[in-house]
Amino acid sequence: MMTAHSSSQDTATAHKAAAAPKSHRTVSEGAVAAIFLAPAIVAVLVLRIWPTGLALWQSFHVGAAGRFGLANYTFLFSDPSFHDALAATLLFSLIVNPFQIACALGLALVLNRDLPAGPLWRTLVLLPVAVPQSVSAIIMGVVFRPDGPANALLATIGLPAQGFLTTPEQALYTIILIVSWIGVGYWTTFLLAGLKEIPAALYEAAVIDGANSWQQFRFITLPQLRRPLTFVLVADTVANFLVFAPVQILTKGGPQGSTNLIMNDIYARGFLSGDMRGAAAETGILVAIVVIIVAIQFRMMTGAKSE
Amino acid sequence: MKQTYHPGPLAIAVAASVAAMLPLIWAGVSALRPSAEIFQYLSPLSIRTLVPTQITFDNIVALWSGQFARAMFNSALVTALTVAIGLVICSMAAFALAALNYRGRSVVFTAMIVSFLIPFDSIAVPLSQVFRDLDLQNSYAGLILPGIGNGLAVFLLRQFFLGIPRELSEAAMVDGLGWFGIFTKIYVPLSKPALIGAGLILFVFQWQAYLWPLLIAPNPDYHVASVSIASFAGQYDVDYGQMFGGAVFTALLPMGVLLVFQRYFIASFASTGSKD
Amino acid sequence: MAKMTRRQIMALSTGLLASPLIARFAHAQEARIGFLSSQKAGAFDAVIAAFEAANPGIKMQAQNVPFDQLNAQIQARLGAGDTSVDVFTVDEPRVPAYAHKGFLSDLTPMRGEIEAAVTPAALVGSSFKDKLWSFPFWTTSQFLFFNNDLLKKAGLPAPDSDPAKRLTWEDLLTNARTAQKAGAKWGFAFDQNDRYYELQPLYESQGFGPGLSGDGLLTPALTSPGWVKTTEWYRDLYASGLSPRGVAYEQMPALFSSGQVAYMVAGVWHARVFRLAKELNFGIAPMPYFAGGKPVTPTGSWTIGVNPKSARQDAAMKFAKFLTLDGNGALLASTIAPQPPVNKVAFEAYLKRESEAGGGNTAAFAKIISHELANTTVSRPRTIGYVVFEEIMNRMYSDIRNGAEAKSSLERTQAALTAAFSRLE
Repeated sequence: MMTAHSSSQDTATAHKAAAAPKSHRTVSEGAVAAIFLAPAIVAVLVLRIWPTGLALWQSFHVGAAGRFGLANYTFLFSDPSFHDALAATLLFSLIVNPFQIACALGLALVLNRDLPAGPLWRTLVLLPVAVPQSVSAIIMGVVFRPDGPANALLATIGLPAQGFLTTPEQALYTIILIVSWIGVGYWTTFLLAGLKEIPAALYEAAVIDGANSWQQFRFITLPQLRRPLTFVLVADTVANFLVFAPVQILTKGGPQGSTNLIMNDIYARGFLSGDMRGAAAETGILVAIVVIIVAIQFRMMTGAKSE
Repeated sequence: MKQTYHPGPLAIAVAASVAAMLPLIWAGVSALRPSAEIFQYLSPLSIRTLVPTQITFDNIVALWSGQFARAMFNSALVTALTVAIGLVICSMAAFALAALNYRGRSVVFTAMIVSFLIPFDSIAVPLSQVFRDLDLQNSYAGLILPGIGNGLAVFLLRQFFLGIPRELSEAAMVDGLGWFGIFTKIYVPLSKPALIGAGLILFVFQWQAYLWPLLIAPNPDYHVASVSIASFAGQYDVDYGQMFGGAVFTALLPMGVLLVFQRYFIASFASTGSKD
Repeated sequence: MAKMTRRQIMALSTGLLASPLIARFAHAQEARIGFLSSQKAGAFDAVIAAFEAANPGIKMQAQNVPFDQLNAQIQARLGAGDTSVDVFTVDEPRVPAYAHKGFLSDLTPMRGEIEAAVTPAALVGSSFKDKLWSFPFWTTSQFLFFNNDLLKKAGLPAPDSDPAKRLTWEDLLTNARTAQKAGAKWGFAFDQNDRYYELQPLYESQGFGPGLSGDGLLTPALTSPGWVKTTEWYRDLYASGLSPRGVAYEQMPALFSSGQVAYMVAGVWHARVFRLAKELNFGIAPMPYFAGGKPVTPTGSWTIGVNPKSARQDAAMKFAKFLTLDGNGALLASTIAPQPPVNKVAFEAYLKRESEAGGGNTAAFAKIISHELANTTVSRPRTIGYVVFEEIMNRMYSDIRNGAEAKSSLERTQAALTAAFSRLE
C-alpha cells in the first residue's frame, strides 16, 4: 500500500528470506496475533462468512422437502435472464474498470499538484459518494431523460438527442457514466494519498538526471504506486461487480436485458420473485467469479511474490 | 510533486468538481422550488434550469420538522461509532497480518479478502433473522455491528503496514516495548493516510447502507438517513422536493467533516518523516 | 441444538464487540402491536391515537418502509417467522401468494361483519379460493384527465363526463394527435406507463383475457392474435411520438401538471396534485374503451392482513377491524391517503370531500368513480404467481415502450413466465 519506506520491498524480501527461526518469539507472535485478530475475525466469520455458507447451503437444496440437489444451478444455467446477466456484467466490467481507474489516476495526478484551493477540489469530487445511492440514481436518471439536461446540452452544441437509458445500445454505457460519476472521486482519493507518499527526493534526483515528465511517471510514479493501484484495482473491480442500485432504480435490467447486471438479477430473483434459493445459487456463482478475478489481479500486480 | 502554477491542471480540477457538483446543485435548487416546477425546466437549458422562479423554503421546513432530523442524528451516530470502533478492530487485524509471523497467516488474510467479495445484500436476510433472535432489531448495536469488520479496510491497512520495516519493531523490542506498544507507538502514528483511507471505507459502507437498516430497524425512531429519504417515494407520488433536500443535507454533513480531514493528507507527508 | 450453538457464538461475539453499545432507548417492554406499512411516516398517527384511546392496554408501533421495499420486507420477515409484525398492509394482488405461504390469517368466519361494512366490489381483492384472507381497506380507479387549454387551442371539445358517453380509444387518439399538432408536447400518456395494472384493461376491454389461464391461473397466455395486436397498439403510442419515453412513472404527473400533456389516463388520486398546479386548467372524464368492446377499468389497492403467528392475535384483530370496518377508524385512516376507502361510511365522506375540493374542475368526481367501482372494474388475476407475473410483465412493457418488437417480446416473456412459475413452491 502506501509505502512508508522506499526500500520496504528489499527489507520484506530479506526478512522472508531469512526465514524467521521458530524461536519462542515466533510462537508468542502467533498468540499475540490471535489477540489482535480476534474481534475482526469474529466479525468477519459471523457477519459475512457464516451467512454466506448458509446461503450456499440453501442453494443446494431443492423442492418443498428440501432435498439435496443441483436443480437451482441447472435452472440458472438455462435461464435467459442469467445469460443476460453474465453478458452484461462481463461487458460492463471490461469497460468500467479501466475507464474509472484511468480517470481516477489522471484526476489524482492533477489534484496532487499545488493548486489554489486544493483541498476544496479534493473534497468536492468526493461529494457524489456521500449522497445516498437511491437518490443519486434518481438525479442522474433525470439528467439522462430523453427530454432532460444531457440531451439539452447536446442540443446546444448541435448534436442530436440520444436515447441513453431507453435504447439497448446506449443504456449500459449510460449506467457506466452514472456509476463513474458516483465513484471516480472516491478512488481518486486513495490514489492521491498514495501519490503523496512518494518522496520528492526521487523526483528531484530524476530531474537532475534529465528525466522528462513521462519518464518520471513511468519509472517513479507508477512503480511507487503499485500498492495503492493494486488496492484500487481490486476494490474497484469488486465494487463494480456488485453494482445494482442504479440499475434497480432506473432500468430494472432493461432495455431488453442490456443492463441486467448480475447483482440486479440476484436482487430481482430473490427479493422480487421470491426465489431465494435461486438467488443464493446465483450469489454463489458471482462470488466464485469474483474470487477468481481478484486472484488473477493479485498475481498480475504483485508478480511472483504472494502478498 | 510541486509544480509552478499551470492553468491546465486547475481547469481540470475545477471541471471535475463542477461535473461532480452540477447534478447535486440542481437537486438542491429543486428543493427550494415549488413542487410543480421541479421538472419544468430540464430542457432546453436556460437560466431557469438552475435558478428557480420563486424560492420557497416549504420543503426544507417540512423536511426538518419530520422524521429526517432524527434520521440524520441516527446516521451520524451510527457512522461515527462504526468508523471509530471499526478503525480499532481493522487496524489491529491488519497489524497482525502484516507485522507478525505465524502459521495460518495467509489463510486469515484470504478470509479477510473473501469477506468483502461477498455482496452484503445477498446475506442480509438470513443475518437479520439472527439479529432479531438476539433482540438486536431497532437498536444502534444492530445497525453498527455489520459495519465494523470490514475486509476492505483491513486489506488497505495491511498493505500499508507491510511497508513499515520490521527493524523498527525489533529496535523497539530491544528498548523493551511489547507488541501492543509497537502497534500503538510505531505503526499507528506512521499510518495516518491509511487510517484515513480505512476510515473513508468504513464511512462509505455505513453512510450508504440501505437494505440492512431497512431490515433491522424499520421503527421510524431508528431510521437512518438513506431510509428516511427513500420514504419520500410513495406508492404513486414522490415528494421530490423533500427527497432532494434530504439528499443534499445528507451529503453536506460528511463533506464538512472531510474538508477538515483533507489537511491530514498534506500533513501526513511531513509526519511520515524519515524516509530511510 | 444448532440454534443454541449459533446463539452462543453470536452472544459471545456480540459481547466482545458491542458491550458498550447495547444501550437502547428504554422503550417500555410491554408488547406492542407492530403495524407495518409503506405509507409515509405519520399517515396513521390519527387512527392509532384514536385506537389507543379506545383500547387502553394496547399500544401500537407503526413501522414504515418505502413502498418498493415492502414486498421484500414482508417476504424476509414473515418468511422467517418474525412475530414483530402483527398487522400489515397487503396489496390486493398479493393476497393469494401470501395466503399460500401462510402469511395471512383466515378471516372467513368474519365474512358477515366484513360484507356489512364495505362496498361489495371490494371483497374480490381479499379473497382466494373462496376464503377471505384480509380486511378490504382501500381501492383505486382511473380517470381520463384532460388539459382544457390545450384542447381549446386544438379546437377539441371536452370529453363528456357521463360514463355512458365515454370516448373510445380510437377517437381519443385521433383527438390526441390533433392536440399534439396544435402545440401540445405530448398528445396522450398513461401515468403508470409500463405497468400491468394500468394496461390490463386494454386487453380485457376487448375480451382478450388477462394473460393468464388454466389451473390456478398459472399458464401464461400472451401470444394470441388479440394480445399481439393490442400490445402493438401500446408500442405504437411511444414509437409514434404521441407519448413520452424514458420518463419514470413517478415523474409523469409532473408532465401533466406543467401543461405538456393533452390527455392523461391516471389514478383518481392525482386530482389532488393537479389541483395544486395553479396554472393548470383540467377536467376529468371516464377512462376510454375500445370500440366494440366493454368499458373496463383497473382497480384494487391495499388490504389489511393479520399475521397468523402474531403473539397477540386478539389485539391485532381489533386494530385491523378498527382500521377497516369501523366507520370512524376507516375515516381517520384515509384522510391522508388519497386512495378511496372501501368502508361504506368512509367512502361517502371521501366522495363528498373530493367533489367539494375540486370546484368546477372535478364536479363529476363522485358520479364517475361510483359508476366505475360498481360496473366496470376488473381485478388483477387471483393467482399465487401474481407477484412474479407482474415483475416480468412490467419489465416487458418497459422494453416495448422503449421500442422492442411486440410479438417477439410476448413470446420471450411467455417462456420466461413458464420458467418462473416452475420455480414457485
